[in-house]
Amino acid sequence: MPAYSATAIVLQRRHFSETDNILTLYSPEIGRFSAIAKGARKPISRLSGATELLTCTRFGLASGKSLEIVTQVEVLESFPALRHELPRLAHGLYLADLLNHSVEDHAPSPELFELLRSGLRQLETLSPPELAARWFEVQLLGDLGYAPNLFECSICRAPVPGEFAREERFALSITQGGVLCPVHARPETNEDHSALGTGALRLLQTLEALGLGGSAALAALPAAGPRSLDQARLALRRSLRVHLERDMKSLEFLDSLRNSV
Amino acid sequence: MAVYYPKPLARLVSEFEKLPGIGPKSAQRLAFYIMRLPEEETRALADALTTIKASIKFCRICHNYSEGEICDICTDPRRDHTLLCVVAEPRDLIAVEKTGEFKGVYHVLQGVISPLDGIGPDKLRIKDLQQRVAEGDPRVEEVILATNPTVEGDTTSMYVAGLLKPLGVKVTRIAHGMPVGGDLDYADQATLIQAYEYRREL
Ligand SMILES: [Zn+2]
Ligand SMILES: [Zn+2]
Repeated sequence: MPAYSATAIVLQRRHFSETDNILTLYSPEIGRFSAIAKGARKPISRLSGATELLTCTRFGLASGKSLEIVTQVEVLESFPALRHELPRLAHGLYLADLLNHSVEDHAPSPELFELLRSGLRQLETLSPPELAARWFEVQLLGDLGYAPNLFECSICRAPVPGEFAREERFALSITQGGVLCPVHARPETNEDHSALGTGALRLLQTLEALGLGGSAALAALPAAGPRSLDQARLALRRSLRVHLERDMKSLEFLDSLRNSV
Repeated sequence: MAVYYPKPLARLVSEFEKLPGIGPKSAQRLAFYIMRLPEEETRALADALTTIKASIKFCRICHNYSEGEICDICTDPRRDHTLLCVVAEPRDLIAVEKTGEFKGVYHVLQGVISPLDGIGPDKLRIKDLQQRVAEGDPRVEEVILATNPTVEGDTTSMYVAGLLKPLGVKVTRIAHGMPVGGDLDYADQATLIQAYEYRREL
């Protein structure tokens, strides 16, 4: 059994037997892969804390017949603040869910690993926490090759918001691959057009401009209004749904939190 | 492997294999054991298996397994009905009962919120809990959340606490951190952080 080690964040953790868990891990060097953590469900197991969801751990691994086997662990970062506020934790799970369903096994991307790690770090403190999720989504779309063109109308190429800044009626079109100016946006009648006000448009532009490494600047952004946050959320959700061909299960719980508050 | 057995035996072995903690070897051992049992003993076993589903239901108040409409704990006047312990599963209730320390009553959620698996609050006995605390007779004074210190356990506890606190009830959660008999040197960072958070004055 060849042994090696890898840093990885736990994206998913499922019961495998009375005592064992199957982990879905995301590592910068390996990409997504699965490993079995034997005995992790026993109360006094060295593995249980380090194999918890959303934990960044240095894993000692051995290649088993069908699955990698966790042999050693050292917690590198456990993002403890996520465990104290429900919206932060629920968004953290969403980021893991989203990444888990955006990548293939064994396709390493140090950039996506860093994206997840910085997203989780931002979620610990950022207010509102959903801003970290929006940044994550914009950057993820870009990394997957689906970056929408946010700075000019996808039909007439007019710069946006530009001269239309006071009209507020923009949209994000998935089929056009970018935003639409108020002349071409039809969010009321065209299912493909997600309505964006000037605030939401500017928010998306800012989030994209921050880049993969720019999460530290999130805390200093001017506060976006609830309407802008909602519009950005819905537009990005629709893009992700079309490109990933699914809705994340973790969204149901996030939505139920939003509706109950 | 099943080809070595006559069909009825293969069926029994494969049913045993579905049980938790039972591998092919143990399944075979159990099946052969049952083959050697006297007729009346296999009948008693079969009878116990077929009646369990029909005769055990969930208590209308706490949602634990119960023989009647309301379980023995909920009907017991010697228990403190102002103290309500919330657990995820019936087996957690049994674990707390075994300590012999807890004299209050229970509420079994029948699972935990697990966003990644699409298990939300509406799939659990959370609404019933909210209603029970709101309309409680006698009045519930303290709700103790006894969920596992996992992400799902934390999620469930924070969600339930958010619902119950506005009802004016005291909401606590069982402490977690270092295991009894554990060794600081062996504890991971996540466990130690929790142990520090839940420290208390001596
Ligand atoms: Zn246009
Ligand atoms: Zn009961």
